Order: sequence, then C-alpha cells, then structure tokens
Amino acid sequence: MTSARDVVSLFNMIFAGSEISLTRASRGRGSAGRKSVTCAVLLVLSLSLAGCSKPRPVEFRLNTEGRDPASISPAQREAIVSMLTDLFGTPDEPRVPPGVHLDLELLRRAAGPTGRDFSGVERGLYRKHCAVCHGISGDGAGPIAAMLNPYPRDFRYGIFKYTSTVLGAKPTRQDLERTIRRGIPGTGMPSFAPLPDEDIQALIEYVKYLSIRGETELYLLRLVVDENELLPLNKESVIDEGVLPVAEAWEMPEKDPEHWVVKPQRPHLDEAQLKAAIERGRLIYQEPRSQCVKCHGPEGRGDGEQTDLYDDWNKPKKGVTDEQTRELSRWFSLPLQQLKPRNFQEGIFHGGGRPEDIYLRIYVGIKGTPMPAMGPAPGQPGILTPEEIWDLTFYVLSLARKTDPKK
Amino acid sequence: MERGGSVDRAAERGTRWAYRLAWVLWAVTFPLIWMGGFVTTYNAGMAVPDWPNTYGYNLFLYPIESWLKTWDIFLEHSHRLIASAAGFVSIALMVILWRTGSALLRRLGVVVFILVCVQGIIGGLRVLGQELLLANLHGCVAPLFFGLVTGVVVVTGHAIAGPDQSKGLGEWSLFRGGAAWRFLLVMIIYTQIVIGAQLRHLPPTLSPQWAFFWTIVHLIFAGLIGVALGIVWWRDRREDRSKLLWLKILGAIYAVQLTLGLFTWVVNYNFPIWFLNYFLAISYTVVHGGAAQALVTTAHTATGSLLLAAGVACWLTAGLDWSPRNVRVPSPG
Repeated sequence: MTSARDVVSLFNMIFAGSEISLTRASRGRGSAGRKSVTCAVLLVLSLSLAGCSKPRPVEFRLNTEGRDPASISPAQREAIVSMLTDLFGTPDEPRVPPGVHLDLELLRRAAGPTGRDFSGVERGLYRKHCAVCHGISGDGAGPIAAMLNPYPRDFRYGIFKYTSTVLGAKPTRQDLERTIRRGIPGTGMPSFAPLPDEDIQALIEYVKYLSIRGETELYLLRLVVDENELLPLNKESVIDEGVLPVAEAWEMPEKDPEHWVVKPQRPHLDEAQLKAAIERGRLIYQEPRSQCVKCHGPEGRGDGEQTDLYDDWNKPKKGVTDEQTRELSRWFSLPLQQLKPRNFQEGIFHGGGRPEDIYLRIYVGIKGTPMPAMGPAPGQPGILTPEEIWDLTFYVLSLARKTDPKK
Repeated sequence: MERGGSVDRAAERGTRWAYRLAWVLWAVTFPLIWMGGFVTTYNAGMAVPDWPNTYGYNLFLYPIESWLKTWDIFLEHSHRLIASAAGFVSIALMVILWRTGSALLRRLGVVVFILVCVQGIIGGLRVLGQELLLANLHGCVAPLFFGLVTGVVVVTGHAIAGPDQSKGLGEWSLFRGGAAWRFLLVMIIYTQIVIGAQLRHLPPTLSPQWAFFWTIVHLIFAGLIGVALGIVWWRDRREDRSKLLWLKILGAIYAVQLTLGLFTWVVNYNFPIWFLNYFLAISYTVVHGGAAQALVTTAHTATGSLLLAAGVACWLTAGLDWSPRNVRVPSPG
C-alpha cells in the first residue's frame, strides 16, 4: 500500500483532473431532508457511478513520463505515434518490425480483447492477466498500480529486476518465465503457474514486444523531441538505429549464454562446511567493499544508514527539495515511491528464496535498483569472487533461518 | 379474497405456493451469483463468443464434453444454464403471484420477471458487444435481483402470516421510523455493492487514480455500513426479538464480509507493505487463478449480495405489520 503522502498526492491528482466535484454534490443534496429522498438519491447515484470513471480508448499511450506533454508538438507526437504504429501495430493488431525475431502468432494470442473466438482459441491473454497492473502499454501504470508497492514493472525501459544475466544485459526468456511462473513473493506480482505453457510463452513474447516497442519509443522521443529531428522520419533509419539495436540486445543472452548468463553451481557442503561458509559470509557482509551494511544494516534488518533509495523508474521524480519533487512528480503517472532495503530476517526474498536465487541477486544485482552487481562481468573483474558470493549467500539465508544444506 | 371463504382459501393456497417458489428462486439465484462471481474472477465472461447460443448450439443442447472440457467455458456456460433456470422459475413465480389476487404480490411478480429479463439481456449484450461497462452493470443488477427475490420471500411469508394484503405499501411503515433507518442501511449496502462492482470490472485503460479513488470510497462505505448498523441497533435495541434477529444476522454477515474483503485484497495483491514491515512478515506469493484467489474473491462478491438480502429482510420485517390484529376476518354474509 501507499504511504499517507502518496494518498494525499493521489487525491490531489484525482480531484485536479476529474469531473467530480464533491462540494457541488453535497450542496445539491443538503436541502433534501427526507430520508427516502436521500435513499433515492443514493440509489440513482450508486447506479450512475457505474461507468462514470470513463476509461481511455484501448491504444498505446505515448510515453511522456518526466516530460511536460505540452513540450511535444502535435506534429512531433503524430510522427512518433504513426511510426510506432507502422512498426509495431496496435494493442489489438500487433506487428513485428522487419529484422525483429518475435513470434507473431504468440503475440496475436496475447494481444487484443479478452475472449475466445469461434474456433475456441483464447486471445487477449495480456489484457486478461496482466494489463490491470502493467497497463495496456506495459507502462506499469495499470488501474491498480497506484496501490501497489513496489509498482508493477514498466516494460518500456527494457529493464527487468530479477535476471540471470550480467550487468547491462537483457533478461533471458527463462528469467521472464521464472518470474511469471513463480511470481514475486511479498509483492502484487502473482504466480501464473496454473496457466498452460502456451499461454505463458505468449505472455513472455508480448512482454518482449512491449519492451522493444517501449525502447524504440524512447529512441524516437530522443530523436524527435530532444534532438529536434526533421520530419517526416525515415523508417529504414529508425529500424536500423532504433529498433534493431534493441532487438539484438534481447538476442545476445540467448545466442551467447556462456558470455552473458550466470549459471549458479551450488557447492555441496556438509554441516561443518556450511557453518564455515556462513562465518566467511558474515565477514564479507561486514566488509566495506561489499557495501551490504550501508543499506541492509549490520544485522541484515534493512536498517542501514542509506535510506534515500529509489529505483530507476522513481529517481527522475525526486528533486533536491520537497517542492521540486512535487513539481517533478506532476509529469509522471504514479507518485514517487521510495525503496526499502530487504530485511533478511523477514525471509521474504522478491527474487526467490532458493540459494541459487540469492546468489544471482548478489552476483548480477537487481537491475534498475541501487542493489549492485557484485560478480564479474565481461571486461569487469567484479567486487566479489563466485566463491565469496556463495559464502555471502549462505550468510544471508542464515539470517532468514532458511539455511538447510540439503535443500 | 373478497368473495368468500373458498376464494380466500384458494388465494391462501396460491400464496403458500408463491412463498415456496420464491424460496426456490432464492435458492437458484444465490448459486447463480456465485457462478457469476467465478466468471468475473476468472475473467471468463467472453469465453463463449455468442449469445443466446453457445458456440452455435442452442444453449441447452451444447455438448456436455465441450462444456466440461475447458474451465472458462464451463464457468460461462454453467452461468447461462443456471440463469435460464432462474428465468423459468421467475416466470412460474410471476404466474402464481398473479393468481393470488393481491395487487402488491402481482406487481412484485411482474417486477421480478422484468428484472430477470433485463439482467439476461444485459448479460447477452455484454457478450455480443464485448462491452465491459455492461459486465459492470450486469454485476450491479444481480444483487438487486437477489434483494428483490428476498423481498418476495419475506412479503409472501408475511401474506401467509395473515395480515391484510389489500393495504398499500404507503400504509405500512416501511419508510417511517426505525424501518426508514433500515431502508437507509439497505441503500448504503447497495451503493457499496455498486462501488465494489467498479473495482471488479476495472477497464485496463482506466487511470490508476480512478482505481485508487474507488478503493478509498469502497473502504469508506464499508465503514458507513458498520456505522448505520450501529445506529439501527441502538434505535431498535428494545424492539421484540424477531426484529432484532435480522439485525444480528446482518451483523454477522457484515463481520464475515469485512474479513473476506481484507483477504480479497491479500489473495489478489498480497499483504500491504506496511503490514509486512511493521506487523507480520509473511512470505506469501499470490497465485493467479488459484483456489484461494477464486474462492475468497468470489465469496466476497456473493456475501455482498447476501448482506443486501439480509438487509432487505431486516428492513421488511421491521416495516411490515406482522401483528395478528390486522388479519381480516371475512364478514358473515
């Protein structure tokens, strides 16, 4: 749930932009007097409430996060929207740009309105299962988003928190599948394990699609709005310079997993070895180079001295002063949300509670958040060695009393 | 009733049958509400793309193996079948109520029939037009129908008990004194159901601020029901047992509903972070379409309707005159 400040800012957002006026409504009813009249008003009002919150049409929303929408001219907006529609289609009819390896059949299953066609094939899986949180555009601002902490993932930046890939790399298909199947404990992200495999594959494909589309949109916004590129846009050059680099980045971990994907090889330890590993891990945890204590606190309670923590989606909303923050927040769909470092003693691990999951969180970090990658990456030695990361993993699990060498 | 003892007895027999049939309709409508709730919980409203047919088949001739094969089709088709049953029972009830001769009961029978037809048509148009707003309206009318059927059960029961049925509604104290407060309570409960329906049918393009608004209003109305219930209890605390009994039932359902509401949030969106941070850290993962989510969420919807039904019964028992002195004795000759 949101904090009291979020509640106030959300109310401000509602009443600033809505057609409802509470004061007008109460004035009108004030003289009614008789209870039956009040009841009749209540009945009429309650039924008329159904649908008064009129939704926007089902279309991709232009990513104006952090920008004054007025700073984009109608011609620029039109150029970006029509280029994106040309390349990626609409939420009902997706397209795959040339050179991008996405399965259009899977996308069609996930896209469109919810329901089955006359042949019994189910479509609209994304709208059925995901859009209420992640939004039609994959902007993480679906109807329910404001009430969730953390907010649902905004796919449009191509950043996914829980991956097995090294810093800067896109997630693998298995990473997305793991999150969809297992969900994220302690958050609103559910496990979709009951879904059939083909539905999950369709949803993964659609998430990739929204992400590639989203990053292309960011490229176009930079090109058209920030760099003031002359219109009309050249489709071939947008594909070459905007779409394909993003699509290729998605393919890299699949093509060369040895290079980009970390595969945890858990050491088999007996109880004495585990005890020693935990002790080594405790020492590493306290060392300044690991920086664990700074955020997670000396005992892993998430009460370190570093409290001003925000993820990449929220950082741009944060100004130096409260006034600046309020001013900046006007250009975002959701209010500023602060991060709280994990309290290991609670035993709730968003990225999964198995030793392999914790190992990955330390090794590759949590992307888009202040949780850094500690392990080596191509061209980088890393802060900790894989052995040290295992020691740290066992120590973290011991804090949550979840260390069982047999599991 | 005016023409002598034998006519009175026939009318009384008719009223007794109407009472029984009203209970049958009640017993069909409640599972129907559950099934409708499951359809919404599983987002299965569009599992069958046509209406009134099912995949081109007549509703009643759809092959059993196809019906049972896929979960969402099973839910939607079952919902339609139970709804048809409710429709048939409504027609029978209307006919029987008509034969009782009481103007009030006749009117009630016609209203039941009209509302069941309207509800069916809204459901059908929702499918044909793929319109979420109609699904929303469908969800709002269902409890209204259930409340009406409950009202028919109470009124026909009242008619059997004997008081003068020729009295118009205005002559009873349905909207005066304590009954008026109970009626207000019913209206608040219904408003709460309508607000709940908004949360159940959130369009995917709706701004997050609206969903937040509905949630806050839903919480406020949950509190308002408690306050209204408290006021009614305070006013009527010295009333006779039969009037307090329904208040007790209402209070119990309200407590269950509040608990279900809290758990509906948890099984859909997990424990709030403040709860995990400051009260109890529970490593829980929401399972989409899991048994807990489906049962708790649907139970919350169905219990909302039950609360309304209990509210209606609570109101009518207070507003109708049950005293035997009002039993009209046929005049000799």
